[in-house]
Amino acid sequence: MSFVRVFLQALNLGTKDFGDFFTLKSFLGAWMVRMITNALMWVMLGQLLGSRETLEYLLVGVAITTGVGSTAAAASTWDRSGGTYPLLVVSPMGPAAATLGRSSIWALSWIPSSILTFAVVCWIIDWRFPLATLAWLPLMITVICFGAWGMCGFLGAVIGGVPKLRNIINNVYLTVLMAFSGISVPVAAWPEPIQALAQILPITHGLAAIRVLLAQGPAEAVIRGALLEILVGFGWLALALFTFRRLADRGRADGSIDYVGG
Amino acid sequence: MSLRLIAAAARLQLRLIRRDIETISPLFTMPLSTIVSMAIFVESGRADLAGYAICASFLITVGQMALFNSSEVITGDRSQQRLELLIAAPQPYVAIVAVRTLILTSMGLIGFIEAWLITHFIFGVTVQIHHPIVLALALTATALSAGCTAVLTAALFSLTTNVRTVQNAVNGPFYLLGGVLVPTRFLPVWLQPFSPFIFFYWSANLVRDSLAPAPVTDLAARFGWLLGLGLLTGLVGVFVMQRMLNQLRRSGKMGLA
Repeated sequence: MSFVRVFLQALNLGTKDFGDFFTLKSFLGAWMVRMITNALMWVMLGQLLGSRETLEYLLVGVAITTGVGSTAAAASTWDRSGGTYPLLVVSPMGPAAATLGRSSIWALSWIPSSILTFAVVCWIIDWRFPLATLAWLPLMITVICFGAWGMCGFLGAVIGGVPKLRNIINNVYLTVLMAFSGISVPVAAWPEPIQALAQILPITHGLAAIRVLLAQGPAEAVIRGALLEILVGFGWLALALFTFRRLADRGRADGSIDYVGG
Repeated sequence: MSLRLIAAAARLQLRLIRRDIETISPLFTMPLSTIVSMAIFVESGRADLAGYAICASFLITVGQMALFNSSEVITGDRSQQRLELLIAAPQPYVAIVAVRTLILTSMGLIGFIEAWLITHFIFGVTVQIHHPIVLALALTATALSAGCTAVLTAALFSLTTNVRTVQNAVNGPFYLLGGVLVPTRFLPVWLQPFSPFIFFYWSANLVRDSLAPAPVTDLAARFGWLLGLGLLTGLVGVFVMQRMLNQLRRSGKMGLA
């Protein structure tokens, strides 16, 4: 129970971080503009390639996942640059609950960001998805965000050991997802080792399920994809907890939990 | 502006880069987007569009170096308490800033090489450079215009409390309307009239054309627009920076961050 309590307190701290970055006005007027124009840039490749099919594939993949995975892993280092990390390491709870809680606000922000981007880009491209899927789409987007957040938790734990690379690692993560998780091209387009990697990457299963959902395919395939996505998310979270502990133990032993200037 | 000033400003910037690798983070991340765009092209049977992928990765790398990393030059000086010392020095601060933003945006040229190597080694597609002189000039002019733009954004950002908001708001439209990945004629018609006022529009078309076999025409006008837009933005930047410094002096907030 105390894990949940610490997590929620840290989430509360995260909302203050978020408030430092965004007001409602700047979230809508700046962040959303970036997300929508960025998604539109990729979707327009369908226009360049003269293929409505490619355009629709990119529309679903890119518009739904733009921004998903951003900032959360990098935000895991803010306790290091804030000087509070050593206190978390020596606390009986350890740093995992606090760090995951603080950075999870970003994952929560992906959900409205994704829904809004998808809606606006659909409107601009004039693409009508089946209205019957409308009720399920936000839920499936939430599932994807959970999966992506799970891996952010793991990366956040890793970045704790190399805080100077926080934005580089976070951005490489976003590109890896975009290339290999079925966002821009089907997973099957890649060589087998990458296809195998894609199975344990977040978004792969959830997005495939969303594609089935929008094509009004079988419900079992959608549910199976969603469950696999949740499983992948939990897998990465378990690895995150292990890594947080390893890092804290090592830091205590060799003094590497020191202050890192931001 | 003396050579010694340029050398000193350059040395300062290179030291800052060495201390914090994140100062040049786009060089490690942005060229990777070549993998995504090339995958889409290859999957659609259009590997011949590899030049488009390289062009986009290059411009996005330079763009991120300008809008994010170079634009934080003044904010960085202020938060590290260097600004007061630099202003008090007899040399013009704007010259020091301009040298540093130019160094950062010029490093974005590495993005072109990285993108070329990715198409070559990962996708086995060798992009021919049909007009090397035009390409070299286009790359240089792009870095220059981006550096000039960063003088303005650096000045503007040091005045606003929420830099990220402005960076987010301008960066997406810049790439979309500049046609860095998809030429603007493929955009919705109502978006197209804005494009010629963004220097990326001219860069993107010149870089793509220099990689295609057809002769590149109308060079003078196109380079004129590319450099003209950059220099104009730079001049506005110099003006804004003077105003910004005066305002900081008046309000006594020069050393605060």
